[in-house]
Amino acid sequence: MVALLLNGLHTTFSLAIFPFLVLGVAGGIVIGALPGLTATMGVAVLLPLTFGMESTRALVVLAGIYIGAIYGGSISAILLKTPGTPAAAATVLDGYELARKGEAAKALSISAIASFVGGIVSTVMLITISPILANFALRFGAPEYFALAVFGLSIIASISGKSPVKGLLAGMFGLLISTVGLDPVTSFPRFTFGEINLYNGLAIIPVLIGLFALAEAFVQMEKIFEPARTVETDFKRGMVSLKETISLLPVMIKSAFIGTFIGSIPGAGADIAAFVCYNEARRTSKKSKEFGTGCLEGIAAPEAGNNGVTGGAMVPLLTLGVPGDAVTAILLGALVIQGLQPGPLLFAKSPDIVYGLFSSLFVGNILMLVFGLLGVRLFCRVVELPKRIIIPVIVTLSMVGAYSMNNSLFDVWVCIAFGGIGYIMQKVEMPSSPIILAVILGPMAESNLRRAVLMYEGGYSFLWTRPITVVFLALALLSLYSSYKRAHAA
Amino acid sequence: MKKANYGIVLVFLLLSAFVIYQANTFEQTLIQDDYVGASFFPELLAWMTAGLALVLGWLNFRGKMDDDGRTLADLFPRRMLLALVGLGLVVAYVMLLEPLGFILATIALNAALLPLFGVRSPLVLALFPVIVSLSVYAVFYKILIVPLPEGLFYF
Repeated sequence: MVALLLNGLHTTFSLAIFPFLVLGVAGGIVIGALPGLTATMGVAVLLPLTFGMESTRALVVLAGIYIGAIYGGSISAILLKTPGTPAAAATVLDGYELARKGEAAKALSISAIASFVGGIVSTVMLITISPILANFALRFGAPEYFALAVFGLSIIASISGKSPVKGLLAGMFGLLISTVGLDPVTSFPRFTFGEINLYNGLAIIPVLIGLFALAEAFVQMEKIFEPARTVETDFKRGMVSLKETISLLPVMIKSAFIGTFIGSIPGAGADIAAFVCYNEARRTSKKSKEFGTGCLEGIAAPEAGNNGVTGGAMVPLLTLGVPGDAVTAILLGALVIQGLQPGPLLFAKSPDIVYGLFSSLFVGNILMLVFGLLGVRLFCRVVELPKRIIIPVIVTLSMVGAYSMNNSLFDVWVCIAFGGIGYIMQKVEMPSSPIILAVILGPMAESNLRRAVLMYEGGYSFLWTRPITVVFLALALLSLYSSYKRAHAA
Repeated sequence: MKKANYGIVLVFLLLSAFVIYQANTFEQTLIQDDYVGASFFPELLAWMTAGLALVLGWLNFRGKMDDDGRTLADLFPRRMLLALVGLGLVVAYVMLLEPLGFILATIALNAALLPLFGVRSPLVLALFPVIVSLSVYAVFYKILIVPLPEGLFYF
């Protein structure tokens, strides 16, 4: 294995591959940072450019975009309260608060470091224990997926700030939104009112951009004539210190493991992993009360978790030919286009390509860290711009971001509607993050619950007879209980 | 905040009632509907939402919710008009996107927002909207090949 890895590194650093990896990672960061452009979209858009490339080069470029985009989403999440990708939605909670305190450089640097740790840990796990993880993930049926979704939803209480009840109500609203469109089991149109654009349900990107970016733009419009806040410009002091980084290592590594595990479960992506890691970090932290106010752990955990997914999602892809998330589904297509058949035989037939990919994941994560840290100064200039200049840019990017996913003006109207809803919610101190979490997890919860009930012919015994289901449901109860205790203590 | 909380309770109770009413109109489509049909999940959620709304109302009534003493006038001050005008401009922008195309509509939106935010410099007013519009167009349309509304003038 070591010889194959060294050979892979040799390939990665060759002139035929390395420049493409640099371009892939840098391009991925830019794509991720732009609201509305997800890692999936970036990989999908640039996939045709790789058709004519040699197999390893094509995979390296796509993997570079994947790594870069998942990290890039945190840049706009921290600076503009606009998650570039759904995977960065959890980073907004503390990242933006820290930036508001004038410590954007610290938030961005810890985000880059945590993403790096997450990426490296998941790559190591991908190489070493991928077959074990893949076999475990294959034991997931509808009841287990439902329990995983419930566990994810239990996080709502902990990201609801001062009022868990308002947060749960917001979560319910998100779940109700997720039922709009064709019923996943019977295809009956629900809450569509004859509008064909609603048949596929509400797209997450416009909802996310509306709730976070546009709503914040409206709030800032109200305060446009208030004195501007001061921004940290002393970068030596502003960056995260070595001591702080070391103290955050345990939470980063733990989140990376969780992210890798979640990534290895087909269908559970970086967005879910980020929220789960955030909740877990908060649940176990000595500073749990500081979460949501600009806490470093609140940035490190979701960022390590969502980048942990990058390696994890490749586990089932490479070992079983089953994609772990949407991006790896596209990578599966890329492999097939290149004439490769993902699965156990891939390791035997094309070890050079597999280990070339592993090595490029290592090097790609290092490049991401370098670009991330070098770019902090440049990125921070964004928050130094006056509000009257930055708000029109946010509004414009929000509109383009909402439009670009499906090239649909309907999505732009959805974005505006949720901008208005998010604005009112901020006024009445209702958190909007639970809506996003619920919209992400709602379809997974509903379709798998119904499938499970059908499997058990109308019974619910799967809730207590399947071990993995029981574990996830117990974790959900534990999560709710700890949130209740925390709220009660506060 | 207390009145606002009652407002939230009312909105969510109405939403629940609406969802339950709508869900009851969903037709049974397959034999498996006997277990869990199309209305099963929305109805379940609606009842849970109504229950949570009542809990919020009860907590609010008992004074268990954080009340910072802010009145409705504090929550919705007159300067909120700025945000409402901004919202109006955004709505007008989306309506203009298809007839005018992305570049011209975006220039118009930015040219309208800047004076609203107190920008008076003629240079900024003239250049900024054009730069923003063309930069976003270049990145999304030219580099990332994302189609943008073209309008009557094809750009």
